[in-house]
Amino acid sequence: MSACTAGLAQPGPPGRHLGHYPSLPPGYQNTSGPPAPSPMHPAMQAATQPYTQAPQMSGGPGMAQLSPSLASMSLQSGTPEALRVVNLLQERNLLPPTPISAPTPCLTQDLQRINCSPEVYRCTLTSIPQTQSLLNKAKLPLGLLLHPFKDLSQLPVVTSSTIVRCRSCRTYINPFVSFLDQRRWKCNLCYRVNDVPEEFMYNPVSRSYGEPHKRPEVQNATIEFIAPSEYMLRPPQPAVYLFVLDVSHNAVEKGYLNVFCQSLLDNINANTWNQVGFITFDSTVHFYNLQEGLSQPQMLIVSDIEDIFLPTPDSLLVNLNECKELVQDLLKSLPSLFQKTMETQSALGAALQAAFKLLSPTGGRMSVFQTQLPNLGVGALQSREDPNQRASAKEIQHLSPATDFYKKLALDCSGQQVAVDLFLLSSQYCDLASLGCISRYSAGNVYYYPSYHHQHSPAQVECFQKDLKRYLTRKIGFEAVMRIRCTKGLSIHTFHGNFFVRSTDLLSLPNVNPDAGFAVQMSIDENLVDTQVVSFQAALLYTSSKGERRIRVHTLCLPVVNSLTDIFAGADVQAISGLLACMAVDRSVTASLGDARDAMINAAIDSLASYRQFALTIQQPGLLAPACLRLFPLYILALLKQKAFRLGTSTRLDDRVFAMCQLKYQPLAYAMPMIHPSLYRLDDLTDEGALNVNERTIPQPRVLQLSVEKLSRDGAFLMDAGTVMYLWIGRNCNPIFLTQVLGVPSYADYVLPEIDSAESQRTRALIGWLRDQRPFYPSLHVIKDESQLKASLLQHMIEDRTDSALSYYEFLLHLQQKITK
Amino acid sequence: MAFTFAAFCYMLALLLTAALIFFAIWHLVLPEYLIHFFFCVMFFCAAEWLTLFLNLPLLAYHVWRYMSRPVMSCPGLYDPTTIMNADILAYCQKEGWCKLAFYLLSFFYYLYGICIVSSHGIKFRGSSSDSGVS
Repeated sequence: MSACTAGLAQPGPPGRHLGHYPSLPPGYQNTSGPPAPSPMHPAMQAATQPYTQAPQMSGGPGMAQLSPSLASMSLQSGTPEALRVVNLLQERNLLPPTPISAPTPCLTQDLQRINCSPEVYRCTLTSIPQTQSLLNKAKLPLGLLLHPFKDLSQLPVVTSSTIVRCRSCRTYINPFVSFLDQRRWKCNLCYRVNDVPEEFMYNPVSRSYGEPHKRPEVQNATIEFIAPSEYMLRPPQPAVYLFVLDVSHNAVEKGYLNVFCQSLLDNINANTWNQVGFITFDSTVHFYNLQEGLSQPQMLIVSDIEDIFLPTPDSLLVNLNECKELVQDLLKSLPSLFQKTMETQSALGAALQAAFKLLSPTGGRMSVFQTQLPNLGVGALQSREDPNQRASAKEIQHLSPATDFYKKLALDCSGQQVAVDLFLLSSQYCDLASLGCISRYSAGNVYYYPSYHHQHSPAQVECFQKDLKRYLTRKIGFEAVMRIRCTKGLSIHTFHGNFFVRSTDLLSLPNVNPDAGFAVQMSIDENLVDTQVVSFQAALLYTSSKGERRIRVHTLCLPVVNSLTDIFAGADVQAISGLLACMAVDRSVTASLGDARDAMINAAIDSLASYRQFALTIQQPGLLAPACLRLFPLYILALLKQKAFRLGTSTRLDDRVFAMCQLKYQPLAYAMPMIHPSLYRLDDLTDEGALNVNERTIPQPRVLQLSVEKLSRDGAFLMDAGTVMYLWIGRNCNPIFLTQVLGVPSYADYVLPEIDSAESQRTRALIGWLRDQRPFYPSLHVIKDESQLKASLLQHMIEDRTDSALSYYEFLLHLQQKITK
Repeated sequence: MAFTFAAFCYMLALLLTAALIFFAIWHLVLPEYLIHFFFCVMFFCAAEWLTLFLNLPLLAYHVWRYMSRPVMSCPGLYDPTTIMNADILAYCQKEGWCKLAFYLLSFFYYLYGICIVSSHGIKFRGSSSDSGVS
């Protein structure tokens, strides 16, 4: 090809010229230097303690060649840390002082350095069993947890005229393929030998020829391609954002419209590509004509909700740049327009149908704000919850949808590339089990603010504001599909997350956003005897918000092992708990909640029994577990006491269903604090071992066990439970803490005052750092010793006994009894 | 060949079983159930008890399957959001193959049945004509 031999190509429009790499970070350019720091959050790096120490391979093999002696890697001299036997009944302090990090797979250092980051791609077993029977013997679930569209600080982007893929299985070329000679490469998923195309032989980074294994596609496990036109079904459509707002009396009383309109005015991104539209509804549906020549927005009311139609063919969706004043007028006048409304009925179904009709030509995103049960027209729901059954110890009914109107509408939306996000601001029962379907199958998300009121709950108002800001400004991908491929011999059989499974491994995601997590379960169809590593590749094809078609590819490589001990050594206890939570949610909806709880307990019993029977060399009395699984019973108990699965404690049905939705939707890093909150002591924060992030010193207090035994009257404690944070002040708390941090005598119960003292700075730094780590905004509640919220704080103390649940020690005894039966 | 109602039933069943074999693979569920129900009614009218009893278990299975389908407002058996789960998919495929085997066997059984019933008819006619001569 002449372009190849002509030397460096001139920079030009992407996709046209060979070798135009717009943003290749310098760390990736010299591959023969010392190991580059992995692109992980500095906090992760500081706290990373790999459980298995991979021995150094001297004279390391080339990047793209597999080590022949990988099989001898597993665990030779002495017992590594991961397999240290722990007697759970005797050792009380199991929690490590620092946050737990993902285990490192047992690969050579070269392979592990370029392997995919565990923040993006995590496997429940970092050493894959060789056969299905071995996996069954270990009694641990095998699955992957992905966060494919995560905001990454360093992402190599490649523009190339040819995207090199395997001819039979269509895998993208990745760091774990093997090059047979300079001209042929062997796919690591299907083992087919492919030819290296001529353009690929030239490496524009080092400007050398004949070294295809130095190209960025083969050096990075996470990479983004700019996709040529073959990857598009239709030319990129404008990014359309439609807002469907509830304006019934309930909604006006809650007062969310002010906050919403203000947020939108502050955050909406005006460029020539975006279009917006608004629909409001109560017992009729209202459309807004925002045509360019009008002096003010024109409201059109359609009251025929049984057979909804669009009143005008265009001007309901407008480009923000052209009609900015009209949109601003509308947003300023919306809250006052419905001030005096007395409508109590809500025709959500009709509004959704109208919104779908409006968006179906182009696709886009629909944001629905709902404040009560929809009770009019198509899609009307009944109030199914019986308040007396909230504290039932036996069975929880009504976890599955009552009608499939919302599910069918979601599938229609998915077919037209429309995603629906639901914001539920209701304090009454809203049948989230049925309403949530609209988001679940159209790759949207559910946001829930149960006690929202613009005057009475300022904490929720702040959460709503911050969440809206993130929602309106975060990255987004349209018309996306994702495919997960695995090495021959492994297959994926169940998917968890918000999407629609279009064929056996193709996930249809009308919208993909950086806060969505996915999980899959795998099985081993054929024995993996002739391979030492297996690979998994997740490829996400999407249209960016600027109309560019891109493909993000993540590839993970893991070793294959043959012995049960090695499987236990590589178990990732947090990933296992996350996957079990997803499986339990499915089981509660299809079978019953009791079944799901029993299944979780059996998972703990079976795996520990299998360890005791097959992997333990010396039989001792007590409940024995390997060090890598020592937190497994604790996490199972935490799940059993979590809002989604608990029995016997009064839980509103909507709260429970929302907790289940979150367990399936959130990526593992954000779901873990929801399952097992972190408890810190605040009144003795020091700078010892503190992190330095962006020139701020973040203290790193020790994580405490969740038992009231650890709370003491003369201290102040912070509990980080994911979506909410509690700051509990003991009755005899240190007065220095009270004055320096809280500004006693009077302090607001949800915000920390900014006092210029070292203690206040440290506390605010810690809380701010914890809040920054997640995309949703946790509300902070300061609890004095006698406060109503103390009950919610104590519900998170999972190691303690309540009148309906066992304490941690009792749970361990129960497990031990079942294991040694 | 003598045409009794039973022979006619068997012939019709033979033709429709060919359709059922098609439906078992390409999963046209409601026509399959309705045709099979129609068979059973016909055999009941023709007093072919053995054949009816052979088909009754399948009829009961069809009724159970339809009653326990996931909540859907339109007729149909498969929920698009769960059908791609490998365990449900494997179950439906296995069900399809078993029914295919059953329909193939009953195809040949009906073929045989036509011959038997028709020859009964001939023998019956023949014996009555014999008594008529002498």
